[in-house]
Amino acid sequence: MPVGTIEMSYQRVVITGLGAVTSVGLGAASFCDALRKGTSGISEIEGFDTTGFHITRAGEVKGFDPDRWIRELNPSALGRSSQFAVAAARMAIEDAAIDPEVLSHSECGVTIGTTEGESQLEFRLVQQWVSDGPASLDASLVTQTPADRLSVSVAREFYLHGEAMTLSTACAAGNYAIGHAYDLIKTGETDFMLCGGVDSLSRSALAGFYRVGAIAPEICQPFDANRQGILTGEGAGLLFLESLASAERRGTRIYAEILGYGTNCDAQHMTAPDPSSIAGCMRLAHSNAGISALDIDYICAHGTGTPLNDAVEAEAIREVFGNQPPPTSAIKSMIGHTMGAASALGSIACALALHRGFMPPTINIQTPDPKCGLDCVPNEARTAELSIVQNDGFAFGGNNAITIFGRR
Amino acid sequence: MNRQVEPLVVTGWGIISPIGIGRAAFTSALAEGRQGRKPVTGYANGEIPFSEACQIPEFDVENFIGKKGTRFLDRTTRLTVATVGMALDDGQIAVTPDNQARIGVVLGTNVGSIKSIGDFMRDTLIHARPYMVNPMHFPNAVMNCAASQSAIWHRLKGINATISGGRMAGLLALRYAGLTLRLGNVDTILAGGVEEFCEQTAWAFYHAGRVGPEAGIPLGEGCAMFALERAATAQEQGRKVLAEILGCEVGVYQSNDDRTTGLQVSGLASCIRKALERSGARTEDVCAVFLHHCADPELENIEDEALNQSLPQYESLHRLAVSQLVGDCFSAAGAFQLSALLSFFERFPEHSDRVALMTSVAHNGSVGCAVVRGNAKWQQ
Repeated sequence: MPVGTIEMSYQRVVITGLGAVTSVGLGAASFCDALRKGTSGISEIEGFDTTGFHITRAGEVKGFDPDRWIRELNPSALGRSSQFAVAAARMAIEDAAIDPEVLSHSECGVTIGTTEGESQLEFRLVQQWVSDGPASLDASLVTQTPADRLSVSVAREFYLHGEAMTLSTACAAGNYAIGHAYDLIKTGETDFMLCGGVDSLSRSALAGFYRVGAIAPEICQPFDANRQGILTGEGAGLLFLESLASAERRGTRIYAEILGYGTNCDAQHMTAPDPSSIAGCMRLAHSNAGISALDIDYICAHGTGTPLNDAVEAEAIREVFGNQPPPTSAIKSMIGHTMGAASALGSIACALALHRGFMPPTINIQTPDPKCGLDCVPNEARTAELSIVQNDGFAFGGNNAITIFGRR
Repeated sequence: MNRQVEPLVVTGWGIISPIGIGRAAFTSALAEGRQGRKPVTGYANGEIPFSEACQIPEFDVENFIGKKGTRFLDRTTRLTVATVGMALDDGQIAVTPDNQARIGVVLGTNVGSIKSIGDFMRDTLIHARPYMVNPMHFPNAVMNCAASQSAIWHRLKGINATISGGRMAGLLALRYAGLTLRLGNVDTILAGGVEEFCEQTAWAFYHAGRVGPEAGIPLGEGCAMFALERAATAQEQGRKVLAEILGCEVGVYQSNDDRTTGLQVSGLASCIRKALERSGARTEDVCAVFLHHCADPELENIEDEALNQSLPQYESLHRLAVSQLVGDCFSAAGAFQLSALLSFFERFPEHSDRVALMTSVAHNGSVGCAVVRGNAKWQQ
């Protein structure tokens, strides 16, 4: 092959395994069940001391037992985010019914998106520093803290020797990770990828979002006229990707095909999103996926529940889709804002929606905000045969990433 | 299976290092073998667990982007914003409304500014209420701040990615940027790595046993960014091509149940072999190696053994561990290795039709290698 050309016979890329660690259930089946029922995963925070906070509710994963999922690594030598990532990876591999031994002998890699990495370990170190000084830090925690551990721990648990990459592009990071894994398979760099996003509940995120007035007191109500903000959350969503040819060869179940993705950057403001830039990202995603806006049957919104985010997202959607945009729901109403996991869990919701024929609801809707002008699938899931769906992910710093999925 | 990859070209770069700010200063410092090690400054006695480091006290962001709007930027962000600007200038890449959506940033880091994160968390503990934090500091405590601020300051609306890669950050940034450019998603990417010196990193290194008080390689800081494009884009834009990034391979090779490093050695050797193959280069084409070496004898041995296995001429090659001069710069280390490599080709144009390697190894089992060719056609 001559130098200077990329092979033009791209692989089609499909999702054949799903792993979810969420406040509404573990594994694809229970996550799917919760999405269909509109279950809320919001509860009182138990994972850290909430003394002094006025808001003490979040989408926390309760009763997670790392020993059940982590076999090769020592679970107590991993932070909570790495534990979630490894658990979700095991679920995805089991769901894909592929022998980990096969993956270990392939070029299978891992890409994980995150906002805060091992924030709980960082916080414990800061606590030690504040109370006893920096000479007292627990050295074992120090080496567990770097965020590259999220992807490398998955690689090590399953003896994968491919590229392990942690993308820390905040709340759009899950889509970044899925997009990059898609590119690696599409171009034939590898046959298999594990990809997704993870974060664990963070005390400093609660403090920061509360301080800027972005936390809702009780419930998260994206696209409701009276929405008051986000609730923080945690979890992991991992997808097992392979080429369509490989999936067909294995004769395995295909949840959905990844048609493409788009990323861009507002380059305007760290915290205020830019509707025209977000609309541009949607158009880019459509164009990369080889579709038009008219082809989209459903949008899994970024939908955080803050007055500003939802207004901006709705404005961008109307700019791209006109006055009759497709139904657009926000699963953050159920699981809170799971940060780096958010767009990965949104992608899983899209794969399940395509495969099982439904639209997840936006729960807690009392009065849909007419200014948003969206059908937010209020309160109850809707049965629907979907062909092509869009998953939005937007982040601090104006990092936007949107994935497009199609039914197989 | 090992298909050749389309080369990327380096059309400009910028660097803020403990031995010089700017390409020219860094290149001449390297030629002189200047040491970046100096007594720790800016901290009271006892605040840092060692007496020497490779800091850059003379770096002042206002020299690069002026005073306005810089007050709340943390050091990681300041270093990155300034270095991205240098790389754009060096490549004479004018950002316009027409091309800004086609220029992106891919930044390698560990966790962003650990100082911003640590200080923000500290604020939740020391005030009367946990939420009495400074809202202006909140975005700094998110890992993608430096890359996003670089986009804001330089109006770069293309893909903006932050990679938490630690010692692998430089190579991972090259891989991510390479795939993105080859797919045509953007035309130009500013890719590289950053690390800031701060009390949090100093103590973390101290506790992890990575840097003893008088270790051979002190802790360093800095940032290097490279303007990368496809050859066709560079030609179209009339850019100077400084070098070509060819193969770049990474992997994770560590057995979980013992401390033997054999798997990591053979893993790195296979990355080197594959990267050379995919570059269309032979082992005898290699004229220089730019090592990661970070004062941990175990990691250094892995690197040396793998290179020895891969290159028969290894012992007689031009070899440089830039960390000996700039210190252990962790997630900027790979970017500094590439800087040293580019400086080498600039100083020794007679080698420009050959290739040089840079290798990285990490304690977590990750290894990798990139192959870079000089540009014989390019005359300063």
